[in-house]
Amino acid sequence: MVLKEVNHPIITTVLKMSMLLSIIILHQSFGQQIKFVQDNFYSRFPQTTVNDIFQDPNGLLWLGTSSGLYSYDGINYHLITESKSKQISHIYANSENEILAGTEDGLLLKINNLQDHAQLIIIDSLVTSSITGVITLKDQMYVASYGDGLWKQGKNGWQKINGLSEFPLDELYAMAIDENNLIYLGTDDGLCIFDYNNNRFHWITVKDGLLDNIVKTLKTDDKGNIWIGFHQNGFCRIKDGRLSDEIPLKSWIYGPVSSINAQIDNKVLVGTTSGTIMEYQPDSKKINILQTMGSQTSNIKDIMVDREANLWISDANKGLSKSSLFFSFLDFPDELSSHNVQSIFMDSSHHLWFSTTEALYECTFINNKPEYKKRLSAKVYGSSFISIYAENDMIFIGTFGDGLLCYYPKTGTVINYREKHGLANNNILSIAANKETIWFATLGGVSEVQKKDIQGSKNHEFKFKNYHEEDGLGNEYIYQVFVDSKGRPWFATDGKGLTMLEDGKFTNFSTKDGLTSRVIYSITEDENGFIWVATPKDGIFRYDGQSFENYGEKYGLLNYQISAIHASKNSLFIIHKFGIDILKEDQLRSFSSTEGIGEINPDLNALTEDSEGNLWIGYQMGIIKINPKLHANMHPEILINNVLVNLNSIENPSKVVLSHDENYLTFNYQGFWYADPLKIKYEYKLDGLSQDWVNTKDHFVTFPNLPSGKYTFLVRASASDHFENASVAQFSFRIKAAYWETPWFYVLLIILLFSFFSSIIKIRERTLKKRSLLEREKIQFQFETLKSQINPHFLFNSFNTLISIIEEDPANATTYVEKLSDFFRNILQLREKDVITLKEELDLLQDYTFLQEKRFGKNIHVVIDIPEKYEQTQIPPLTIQLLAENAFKHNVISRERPLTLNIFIDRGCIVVQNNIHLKSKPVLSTNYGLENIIKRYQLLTKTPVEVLKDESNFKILLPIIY
Amino acid sequence: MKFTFPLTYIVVSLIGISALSAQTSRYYCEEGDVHFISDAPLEIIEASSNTLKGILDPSTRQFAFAIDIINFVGFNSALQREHFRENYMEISRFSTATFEGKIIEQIDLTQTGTYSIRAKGKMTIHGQTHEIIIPCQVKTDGSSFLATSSLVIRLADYNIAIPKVVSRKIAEEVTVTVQAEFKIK
Repeated sequence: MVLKEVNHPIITTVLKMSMLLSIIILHQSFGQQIKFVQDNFYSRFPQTTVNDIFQDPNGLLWLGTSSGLYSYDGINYHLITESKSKQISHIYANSENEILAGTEDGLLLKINNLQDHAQLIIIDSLVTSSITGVITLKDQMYVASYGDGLWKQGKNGWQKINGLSEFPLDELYAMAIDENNLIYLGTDDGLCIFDYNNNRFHWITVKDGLLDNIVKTLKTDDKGNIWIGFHQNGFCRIKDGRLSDEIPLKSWIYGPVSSINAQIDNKVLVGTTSGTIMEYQPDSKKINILQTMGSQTSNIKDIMVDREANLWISDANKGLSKSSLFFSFLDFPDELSSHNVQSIFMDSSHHLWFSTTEALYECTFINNKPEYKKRLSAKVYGSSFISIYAENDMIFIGTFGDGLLCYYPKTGTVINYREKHGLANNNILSIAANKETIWFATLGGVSEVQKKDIQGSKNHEFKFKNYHEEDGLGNEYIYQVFVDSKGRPWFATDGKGLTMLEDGKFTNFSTKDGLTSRVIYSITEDENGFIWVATPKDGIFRYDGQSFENYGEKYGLLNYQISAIHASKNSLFIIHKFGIDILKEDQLRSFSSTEGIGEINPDLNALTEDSEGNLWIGYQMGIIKINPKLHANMHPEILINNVLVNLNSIENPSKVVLSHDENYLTFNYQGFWYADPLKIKYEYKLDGLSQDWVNTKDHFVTFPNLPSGKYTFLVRASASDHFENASVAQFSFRIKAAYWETPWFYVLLIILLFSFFSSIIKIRERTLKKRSLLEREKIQFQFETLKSQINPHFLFNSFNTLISIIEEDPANATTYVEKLSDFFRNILQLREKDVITLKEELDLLQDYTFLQEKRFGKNIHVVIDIPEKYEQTQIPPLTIQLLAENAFKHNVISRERPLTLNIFIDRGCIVVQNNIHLKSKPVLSTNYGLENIIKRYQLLTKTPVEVLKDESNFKILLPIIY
Repeated sequence: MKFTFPLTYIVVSLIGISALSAQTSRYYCEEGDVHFISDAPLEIIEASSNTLKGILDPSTRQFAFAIDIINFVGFNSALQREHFRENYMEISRFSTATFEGKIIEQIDLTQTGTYSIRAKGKMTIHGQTHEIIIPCQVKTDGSSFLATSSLVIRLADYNIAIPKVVSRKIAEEVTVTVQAEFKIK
């Protein structure tokens, strides 16, 4: 039975057993299932149904549920409605990014910002029926309800649209709008198209070819299609105002369509109340069932694809779940489920050949349903199948230790080639071909076969040409052979780097070319012709034709346990033991356990690409299909949702100029990475304060006491530790300088200081001048005084007086001398001072008067009438004495004409007054005395000294100096 | 029949004033058949009643049905019937089940023929009301209609809780078949 090898060539005329195997269809599976990860919403809020899943333009998810409206950042659910009593039926975002949520009882709620404390505004209570659609158009809003029809909010408030409609417009299941602003309404009687400009209704019903009259759901896509989901018979679309004649499925067994999502990758996703989710490609008209459940367990309420290509599903019975649309998992029948897929190859007729430890299988797809056929049992050949290549109805299978098997599926013939038939080695790890040649990478060199020899060979004789180290091959232990776009084979060796064969010559690449790893596991070529290699420890390298460069660290690979690398459709796929990296447009996104790609542990280079560019990867539990064409965010989105200045939020964040004391800023930001929300990390910096990015996991940062200046706050989010390509949110603002910090203030300050000092200097100069003048006057006065006092007349008179006193009244003579000496002493003492008190002056005057009275007897009267309160006022020394002296000097003093000197206070002045009786012969006078008094007073006070003279009186008014 | 009067009253009140005011002929069903089956892994429970009351107005296409839960017979045992009445349906609180609504398809029931129609209406069982759409077959000879339908009731939707102990004895979904003949009174 077991036929391993006969004489060369071995032609096994159909092993009956393998014939038998080939016709056994193992299983009719339902499709490529996607793996759903249950969200914890249902366990947090049991008995709560999510009616609507919505992603707003900022990237935040909203859940309209039977217990209120929630916002969801991937980790926390935040209840927006103040109570859980509001049952949300529909969510909509208007052009101003405000969220409008309709309730089951006809309320419309508006959430007018994205901050934590979203304000809830109940716009109006329209109807008591469930709100099923909201559309805003310019300044109009249309609201569809189930039970109370269509309402419009215009300038005059809310009004119901009652136009002339063929059928009643009460129970509206859904509403949508196309690019011509026609409103589509789903009813029990068909599809109603409402032209609100002309207030016209147009109905499309079964008579017009509609699949069913009960239109349960409507969705507009960005290609101008309106997708229509029915109660029965599935779904269809309207394009350019016309019903498309395509019918996706002729017999519909999946129940009423409850949700359509038409946005991702030219595909429409459809969910039904019986728990089916399917994918429809309008271009190829292919349907792929992603999930199917019995109606007992599943009832899809809504499906939504977010911007990361996560498919969100709300199930009334099972809650919320999500799945990445990048991946689907081939549904394996039970017989296969625990088998490690070792190698895999998609042939040109879209048949998937793969081997497990047990056998070789052929998988064909009928309506996208995989059907598995077991083709060759590994046990029969005593070894495992570790590489596959298929061409022209021939399957080449590389075995571990048993050479090459050539399998002809049509006849069931298997031919075994081994070392003794010319093969380089019996362990074939990889097979690849260009137009002419097939190469076999073995653990003992390379074998090549020309295709024309295969075609022409009778009796299936293969002529192998082998290459070994002596031919220039770097190493004979080869993990992979890869044929590039120029038809050149590249060999991944264990120990000697990379080897390329061109025109019969080998070129080896190693450390000298920048390829620091000596062991290469996998090779691929991208669309730009760059060769990429994966290594076991050093990550990935890129060869640009000149040298190799390590790219692993640049992007931050998931880990370094790489089993394969493959380029397809602008993307580079790096397959790891614990996940998959996709490098696209210079951005790396990693997928691991949260996307259902956990410990996949795939075999080396167990992957293949189909004609559409999909990647098929064999792993230890089955086969993963990757869709490389998906347009999805490769990294988290980031949003600055709130800026607080001095703990108050900014009203208008577009252009912000802050005053100097508004310098305590808090930024709240939020990154969205629903694929794996716990992985999200942030980096921020404040340009203007620092040039360094600061790493954090917090959602906010505070900057207290910022100095004035221009700033830009930048924050970026990443799901890995690499931020180079992360999207950045920024907020620019300016803190104005305080007035004391502005240049004009400095200028003003300098001017003020300058003028202040210069005026001080001026005043000081003036004072000094005055003082020196005073000094001079004083000195001159003293000199004059002394001169006058010691003039011979005064002394002679005084001595004469003294002589007469001594003769007449010797007792009084002593007193006289004493007074005289007092008088001179006082003069000597007081003359030095600028001012003396009035009392001191009057004392001096009395001494002087005493001396004069002795001479003139009772003919002089000195009357002093100064109230006591003026005694301490100031006066230049010897002023009154001098005036008295002048009076005595110039006037005739006799018994008939006594001289009266009055000293009193009048109108704020010290008045010195005497009656006039001038001597007939005027006394010689320098007139210096009076002049000097006037000058000295000028220096001391602004009030001038007044000299009043009439025929009988001479009066001097001296201003009082306090 | 103790319940006849109130039931008729319920039926009439359900169909509403519009039906009554319409002077066109109304059709009545007096002895409609209702049968349900719960096909659980460990036990099949079946019961039926021929006391379904109904009213149908062909001109407005409105209809109403009501049935007294107590009239279901044919359980496997008296104990089972007792459980059905007291534990699950709680007939002391919710004695009747009703279904009232409108036929979606615009058909003329006075024309002889067999029609596939869908009846949309509010189903009230165990005090819980849900709007459902039920496909029906209607056979008419112009003077009477024979309506037949089969529908699936999910117990959880109607707040009928099954203890985990007996979950393998009672199906989560119960299949109900209805046959009602309407005639002019």
